[in-house]
Amino acid sequence: MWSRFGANIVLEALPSANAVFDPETGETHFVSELPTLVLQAVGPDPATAAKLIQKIAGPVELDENSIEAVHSSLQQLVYAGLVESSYH
Amino acid sequence: MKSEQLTVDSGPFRVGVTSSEKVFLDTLSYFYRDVLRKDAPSVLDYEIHIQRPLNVRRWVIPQVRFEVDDMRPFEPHPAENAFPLYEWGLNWCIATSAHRYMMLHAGSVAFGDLAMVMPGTPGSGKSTLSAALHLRGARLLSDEFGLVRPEKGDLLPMPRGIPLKNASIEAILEFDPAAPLGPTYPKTRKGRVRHLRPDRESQIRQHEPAIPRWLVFPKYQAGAKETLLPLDKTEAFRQLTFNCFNYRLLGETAFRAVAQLIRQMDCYTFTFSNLERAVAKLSGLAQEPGAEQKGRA
Repeated sequence: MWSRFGANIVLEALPSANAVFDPETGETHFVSELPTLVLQAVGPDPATAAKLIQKIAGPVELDENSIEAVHSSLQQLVYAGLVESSYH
Repeated sequence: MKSEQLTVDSGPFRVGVTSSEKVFLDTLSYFYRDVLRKDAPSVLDYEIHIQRPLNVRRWVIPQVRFEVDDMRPFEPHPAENAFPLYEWGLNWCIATSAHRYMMLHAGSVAFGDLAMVMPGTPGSGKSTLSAALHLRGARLLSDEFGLVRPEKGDLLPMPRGIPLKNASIEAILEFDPAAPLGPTYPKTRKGRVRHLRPDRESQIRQHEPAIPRWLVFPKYQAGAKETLLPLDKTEAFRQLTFNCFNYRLLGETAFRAVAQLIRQMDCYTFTFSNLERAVAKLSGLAQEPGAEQKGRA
């Protein structure tokens, strides 16, 4: 399960990687397109990866590689301290 | 000699200076005569004293101390280095307190009211480039501090003596033998230093902000061909935050201010070795069609 608490991030769209400011830590991160989409989908209520994928992809069904990319993005975001993972 | 009190208008800062060092006061007058006054305003941003200590070093191998707000943040310097001590001390005062502004470690000049901002670490050539551009007619904003008003996104001038170090002194004199340089200080902690005096126009226009238009990351490289390359805006954002003195301190304010700057400026890296060619290349940006429009968007 994935979630993000605290103040909303501030996002500046840039060509090769977006700049993301985390008011909770004061850190600035540079996040590429897919992790940005994933980050914007994560909220304060814990959600499964499947739920997040549904939110990001909408009616489009993602292939295995794309799903793997979303999982990888989540891990990157956890590593950056932007998202929390938990087990329920 | 009796102490003299002067006020120097340094961009947005009113600086009170008290000293009995005649040579230092004469040098201060040489550099800032157009913005120097003897009638002190009631409120000063900094009250600086450059005075000899009361111990034996008052007379024997004389030293001077830099004092501000009853603090002496530095070790005493040789008395003959009073002027560079004052300049570096004022930089310290601003860097440690002027957090109302976002402060870039950058040289900056203006073409009309459009600013070229040149961030860089020591040795990048930003001060020498700023000096050369200024000598060829650009308005000097600052060689050290890019003072950004976060709420407006503009740059406030603070035109002060540009400290040229070691080989840069000869480079500037070769570029312009008539460059108005102050005394040589052969034995400072940064080596041999000589300051370039900003011109009268830059000093009397120091209350006129400039609109950031070009962001150029310079790199001096001996023998290199002058190469101006567009810089990806993500990388420009990253490097600009690295060259911002108080980015972390200002938090979201600084993030939004940097974002605004990156949006409105064309971003480049610039490698150079020859000042004539470097000035021609960078000045060319200001002459391109449409240069004026984007800066005001």
